[in-house]
Amino acid sequence: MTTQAVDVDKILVLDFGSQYNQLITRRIRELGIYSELRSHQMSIAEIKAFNPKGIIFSGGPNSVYATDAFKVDPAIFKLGIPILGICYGMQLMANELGGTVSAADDSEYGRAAITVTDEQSLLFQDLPTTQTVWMSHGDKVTTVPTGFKVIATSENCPVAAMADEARQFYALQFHPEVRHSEFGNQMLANFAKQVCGAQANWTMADFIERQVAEIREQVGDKKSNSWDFRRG
Amino acid sequence: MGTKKVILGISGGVDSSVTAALLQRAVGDQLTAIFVDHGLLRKNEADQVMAALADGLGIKIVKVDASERFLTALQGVAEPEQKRKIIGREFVAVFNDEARKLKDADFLAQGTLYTDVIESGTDTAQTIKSHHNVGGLPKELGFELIEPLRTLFKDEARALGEQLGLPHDLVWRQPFPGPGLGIRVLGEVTPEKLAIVRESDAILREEIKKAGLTKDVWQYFTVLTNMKSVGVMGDGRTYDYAVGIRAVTSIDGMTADFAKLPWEVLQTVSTRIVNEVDHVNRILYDVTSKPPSTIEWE
Repeated sequence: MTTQAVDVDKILVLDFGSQYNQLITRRIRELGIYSELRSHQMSIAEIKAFNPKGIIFSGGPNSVYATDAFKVDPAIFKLGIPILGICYGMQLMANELGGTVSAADDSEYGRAAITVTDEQSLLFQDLPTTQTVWMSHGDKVTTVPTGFKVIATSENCPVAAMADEARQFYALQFHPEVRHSEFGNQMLANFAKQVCGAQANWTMADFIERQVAEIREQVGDKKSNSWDFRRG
Repeated sequence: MGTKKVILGISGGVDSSVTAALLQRAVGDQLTAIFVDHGLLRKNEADQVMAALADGLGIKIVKVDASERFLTALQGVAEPEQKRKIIGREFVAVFNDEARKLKDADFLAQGTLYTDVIESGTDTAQTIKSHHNVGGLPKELGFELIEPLRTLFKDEARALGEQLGLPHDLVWRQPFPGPGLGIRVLGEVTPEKLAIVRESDAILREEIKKAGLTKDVWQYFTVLTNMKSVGVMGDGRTYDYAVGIRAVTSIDGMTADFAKLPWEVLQTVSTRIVNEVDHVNRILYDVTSKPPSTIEWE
């Protein structure tokens, strides 16, 4: 796959199979920040080459304990790049970093009220303490990994959000990308801009300029088919 | 600039039109677009696209009227996925025939969008509907592929098209499936059935526009069911088709509600279709949301 936009800030979304995976990418782009959705199997070398300002783990239908559960290379947590885990992405992060994930007594689907317990958190900057979010999960995080603290809670989900601000790891049990999460867009914006420091520097005019240059380079460099044919 | 040639198949849709505009900007006369008119476009659509791309932007276009060929290939086929595959396959075949005539083309451009790339197979997603934009062409012909929109979502491609000088009405028109009216005639496609869906769809669009509702409704179209029922027109008994009206509201197409169109608008549309379109004696309004239904019927 070609990667354009070499000199713009990028947020990488890794796909763990959520039906909302494209929405995350769209929301980031609506902020004027370039974003791509890629396979969770993307290698560490490919991630480094892509050079994202931040990484988002999407949700997904698995349980982290399932034998065929989608995983990441744990080296991703050593890259020094901020990470936001969403739903399954949060459980994966907790599981990989030494927390505990358990099957919830009741699966939780639909609207829920959360209470922000760390109002200093960059993720919730300028957002109200209580707000409505969209939950859709079976498992949940019951113990946060070392270095993390709970930054939001809900009645059915004591760890509705967690963060390790030193390592810039954040995670949400709910889906900020879904419109039913009333301040979800702002949380994604806070992650991309405040936490990752990404600049909104992706515009259509730039896109045209870059694509035109790229197409000209590709078309200009091409040896003709007939030449290749004779040579072969 | 060099002398290498780029060819592009255009279907009348937004994606290929925007790709054409972008390539024209990049390589000018080195681009030749092949417009495969499969005869499954909406009323006046082919003319609108030719006017915008050929007359408006000066793009070199070879237009091929292939409607007979598509209809022949679709004869006797009722299953939706099979119809989609046949339309995709014929598109490739017609395009190949024309491309061969152009001899020394080196590059093939396609209007593949990011959504097509994602939905046509990642490690986690399953294919819900096959997209005829992705794959197929270059392998057979040995062209090098150019897909300049492959990182863009639909709304971004629209914004791009407008910035490249395509008319607002063309780039922002409502979503239209690649197989066109071929999947809005349920079951087997025939010229008579196509005429019914094309004319009824034009009436619906006209009335929605007249009522000032184009911005409130995400997508609206008619579908020809393959159900006939009894009616009475004049003093005679009729036994004719039922036309379905589909109109939905949505933010991004991923979920949708049926649009609460005013009764007066539905009434006008119903009266006009039954009076003006032959072989229709009943109008149905689709009141399901997505999910559990899809926006298109096939």
